[in-house]
Amino acid sequence: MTHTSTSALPSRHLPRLGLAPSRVLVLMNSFKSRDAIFSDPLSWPTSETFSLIGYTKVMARSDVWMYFQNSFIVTVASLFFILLFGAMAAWGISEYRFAGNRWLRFFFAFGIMVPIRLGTVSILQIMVGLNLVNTLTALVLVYVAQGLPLAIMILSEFMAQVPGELKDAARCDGIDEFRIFFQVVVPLIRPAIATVAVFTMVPIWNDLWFPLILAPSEKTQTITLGIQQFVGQYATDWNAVLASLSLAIVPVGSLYALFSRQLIRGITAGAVK
Amino acid sequence: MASVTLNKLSKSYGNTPVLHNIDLHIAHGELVVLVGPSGCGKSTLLRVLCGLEDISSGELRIDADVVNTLSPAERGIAMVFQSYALYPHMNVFKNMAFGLKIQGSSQDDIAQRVQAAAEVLHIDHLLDRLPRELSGGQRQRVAIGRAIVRKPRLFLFDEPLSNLDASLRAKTRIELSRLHRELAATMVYVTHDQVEAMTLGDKIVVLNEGHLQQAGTPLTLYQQPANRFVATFIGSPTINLLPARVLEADSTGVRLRLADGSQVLGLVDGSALQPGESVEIGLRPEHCRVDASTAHSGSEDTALHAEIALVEHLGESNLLYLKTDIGQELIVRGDGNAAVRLGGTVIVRAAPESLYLFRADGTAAPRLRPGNMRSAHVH
Repeated sequence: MTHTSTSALPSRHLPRLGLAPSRVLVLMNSFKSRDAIFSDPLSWPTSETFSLIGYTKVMARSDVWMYFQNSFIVTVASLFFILLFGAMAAWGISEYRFAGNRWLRFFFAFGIMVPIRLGTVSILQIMVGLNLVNTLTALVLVYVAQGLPLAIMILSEFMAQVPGELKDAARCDGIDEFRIFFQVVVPLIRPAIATVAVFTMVPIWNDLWFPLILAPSEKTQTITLGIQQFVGQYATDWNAVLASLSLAIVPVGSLYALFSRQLIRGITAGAVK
Repeated sequence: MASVTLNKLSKSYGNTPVLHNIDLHIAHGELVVLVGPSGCGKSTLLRVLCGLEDISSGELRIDADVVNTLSPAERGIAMVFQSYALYPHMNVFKNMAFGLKIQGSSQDDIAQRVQAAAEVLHIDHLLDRLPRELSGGQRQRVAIGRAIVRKPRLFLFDEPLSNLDASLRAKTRIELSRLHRELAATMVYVTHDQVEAMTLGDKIVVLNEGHLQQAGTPLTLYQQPANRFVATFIGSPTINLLPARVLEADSTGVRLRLADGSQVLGLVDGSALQPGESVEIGLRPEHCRVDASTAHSGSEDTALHAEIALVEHLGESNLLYLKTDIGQELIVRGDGNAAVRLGGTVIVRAAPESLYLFRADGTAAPRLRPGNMRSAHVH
């Protein structure tokens, strides 16, 4: 029965929403009563087992909305700065020849290879020193640092592919370098920017490590951290956990859908020339 | 509209010199064509003129102003690129208006100027389209339109026709010529296509390895090339070159002995030549006559015995690839109607006034009667 109901899903929508099997489990169990979750976790909610208890519990708590808001602020702000600074740095590295250009490239490549979590202790010390512990700013700063290397590497490759004559034409038109960047180059590499956005957004939204270490206070918890409240040492409120997890997928899923449409459009536009 | 003066202009990338002491004057309203083989520095010269590349030494003036350090826009220059370089995400109108908008022109002014340029180029019905929805010829026009709307002092064209197919290229060439007359603008045009250079240019500048070889009208370059390089570069098929030795020389002509022992007369100014000097004579394929009878004509014409190795029929004429008795290769343009037999022996004749003469260092001895040549297959 489980098998047939799973295959009945419109399968082409699955990859688009990024739904791995475990997330399907989360989603379907979030609509079930507590007993049903335990008795048959692999079955879809039926008329008897259907229950919105998890959602009503979660939504009744105002702090959950605040966690969402925190996650949203952190993700969007980080994404904004990563894309802005990443694109600008990529433009600088790919367009201008200057001393240390190659070393800078290598430096950023190194940033991709070394996980930022190795530096957690130092980051915490820095944040304490800057008095930024338990602020969203601390998270944004760390995530920007975490996302920049990959963004720069990907975007500089794409920028190098923008034909030189196009930039020269713009310079002949009397357009300054900033405008060339924002009005000529950035629109042309929008698909690449969408790709980078997708790749950097998901780990930031899902991160538990840094929120736990840098911003665990009541006011600055992100949703992934906030959900942990429903997980107790002796009893876990599975309805609430699954409902809040399902809710947590929604914003990042829709952002993903938004960017991936852009991404697909860019790919097909290039394919047919 | 402006005049342009290059004064000992040099450009090098690091330690690699690309342009050497270029001296050139481009007059008001002139269309100057830069030609040369790949890598001769013609595109670099154009980019230097434009301001996209720094000048290493020397001086560049537009009218009376030294513009060495000015940006392209400050120089009042517009450039049309080989790939057209249209902004792919903007429609035709925005492509043409972008520069004006940045300059801060008023909306009305922009609309009016774009409209005027579009009408001149017959693209006024395409203003809403994106570049990818246009054909090659239309993109070309938009690229030119983008240059026109800014009313620049100087137009630069970087091989603008090389991406078009042959028939469109011929059409656009005529169109460009018309545009040049209508705008009365100063233009510099880079090409490697001889036909474009000869047909479009008021003046042709031949470059080789970063050195200016010769600047002059198309006919001057063809009839009175300054050196061997210009003679071989201008004219298609390439001029035939044969080694020779000076027997007698004065300002009225030169008598020479060819490698096969025959003597020829050339109507070139030989006052700088010494008897015994090794030189090369040049014979243009279209100035040679093919004579099937091997009898000696007794005239002063150059006469070379040769065997027909290959024939290319072009319709109005044919190209004969010949091999002389002593193994030199010759190309001759012959009458398209004449029957030729592969392997047959013919005599190639050329009149004394058609001879070119190059000294060992490549410089040309001035021809005494450069014009007045009739192509062989016309008689």
